[in-house]
Amino acid sequence: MKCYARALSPGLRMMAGMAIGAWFCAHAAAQTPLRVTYLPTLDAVPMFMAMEKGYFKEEGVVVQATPSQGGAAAIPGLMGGAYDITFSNVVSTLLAQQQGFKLRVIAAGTKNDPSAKPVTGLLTRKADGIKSGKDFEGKSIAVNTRNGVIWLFARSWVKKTGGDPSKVMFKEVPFPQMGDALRNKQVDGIFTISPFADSATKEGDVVRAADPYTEVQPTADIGHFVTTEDFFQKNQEATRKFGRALRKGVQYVNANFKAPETQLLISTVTKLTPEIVATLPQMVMPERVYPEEYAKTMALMVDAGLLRSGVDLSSMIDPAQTK
Amino acid sequence: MRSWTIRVLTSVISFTVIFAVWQCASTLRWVNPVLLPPPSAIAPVAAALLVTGEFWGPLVQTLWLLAVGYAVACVSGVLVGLLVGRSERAYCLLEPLIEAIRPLPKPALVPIFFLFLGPGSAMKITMVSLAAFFPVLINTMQGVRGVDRVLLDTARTLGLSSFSLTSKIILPAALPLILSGMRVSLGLGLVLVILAEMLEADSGVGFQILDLQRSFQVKEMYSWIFVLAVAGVSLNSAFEWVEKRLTPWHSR
Repeated sequence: MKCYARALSPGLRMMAGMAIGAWFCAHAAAQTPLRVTYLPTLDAVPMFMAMEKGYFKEEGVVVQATPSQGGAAAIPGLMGGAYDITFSNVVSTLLAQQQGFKLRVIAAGTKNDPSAKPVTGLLTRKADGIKSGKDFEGKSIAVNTRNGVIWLFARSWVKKTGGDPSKVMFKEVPFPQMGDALRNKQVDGIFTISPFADSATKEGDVVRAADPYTEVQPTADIGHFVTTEDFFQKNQEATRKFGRALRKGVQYVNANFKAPETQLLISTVTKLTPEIVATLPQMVMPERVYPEEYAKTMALMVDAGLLRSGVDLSSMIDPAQTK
Repeated sequence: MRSWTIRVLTSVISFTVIFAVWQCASTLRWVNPVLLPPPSAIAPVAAALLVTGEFWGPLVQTLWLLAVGYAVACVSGVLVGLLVGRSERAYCLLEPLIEAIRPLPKPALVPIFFLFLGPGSAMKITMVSLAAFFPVLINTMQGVRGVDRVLLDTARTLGLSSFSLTSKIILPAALPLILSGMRVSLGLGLVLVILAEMLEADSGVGFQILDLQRSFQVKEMYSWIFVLAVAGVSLNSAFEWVEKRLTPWHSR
């Protein structure tokens, strides 16, 4: 009896060891960490919803999220290796491509919807009565970063409505601080996005003077998630997992915008009170990227002298994201 | 003459080594060349910037703001330093306040001043003045309090008026320390004006650097940083020249 037991125990020990080892391996392999930057606005809610609902965990990805001011500010960090994925915008990404920063779009972010109630807007003080680009000459407009999509569309709108963009001062102000900057007369107009576009107009002293996206390029793709081409080539599957989990988050938020858990998440991410969040109109997030919209924006950039010539879009966007 | 030649030669050699290492680092991809292009790639862009004279406008703008803020800081720093250094009552009254504000990193106050003063030259000049004020003040204070008692007693014996005492004895005696404080202030003032321009401006060297970074024009950005470095070195050298003329007796 004794010798059987002694013979069995090494085997049992080995099996136990293998089982534990396998569990550790599986556990370690399951959790690919991804360092992601986001904009602390409505744009980031689908990602946080996906985190909350465990969609990333199902795909075997762990998202470590850091807020940023915008693509123009975050892309250098991405190139420097501080982040793996960054929330950027079409304009900043195209500008970076032109300068030799090789980037790849790996997930859609935000898109303008001309049929819905506007969620972005160029806001001004009611008392000033500024209505067109011409009125803004000699004045200032706040944008989140210069040389980004907000800046491009503000300029294009000024030009479209009879003004000269070179006579307008564009000041950098983070989205959450724009309302205060406008009220304190530090700027004359703010091009802001959801949820701040609506929360700022609550008291009536600030009005929506224009909707630049809808007036310039109604169906524009605006925000997206990018990574470096290098990272994409080495970690394609991980970025696709991120994309899939994010898409589920987008679908959930689109279907359950008014649900209490979504409203609470919006409040947490944007730091707005639940009362204000309850009054926000829904912003439908896109599930895929629309390269034809990128081409239109590219044309606007060439016209504004931002781009010397077109950029090859097919090598800039993950094909899996265009479906 | 020989020591001057050796100094220049040493500087040239050390800069050459630095640029050579940088060139290798970029070309051999020890660092990401997109983020840190090699000097060979930056040089033509910088040359274009200098040759076309494009750098003058923003540089003059920045230096003008620095000059105004610096002048305000130096004058007020010396005046308050004289007061606090000469009067024991003023010292007891003001010294705690000075020691409370002095350690605050002035760049951290830029957002506060932006709120009160808004964008514009006033905010930038205020920031430069505030940063440059304290080194001048502290050094003037120390210089005045440290004047040799024998000089002061001699002056009193000779019946010098208070004004003559200050202008003929105290200020010259304290001048080396005052100038030392002013030199530190010059560097601090330059830092603050660039920072203020980065945070809130639409012109000037600080704005250029940030704007080019935002549009990922990295080579142009480094060219402007080079302009800034040359400006800083020139200002420092000019100050040294003035210092030598004003205090020839002070061995360095």
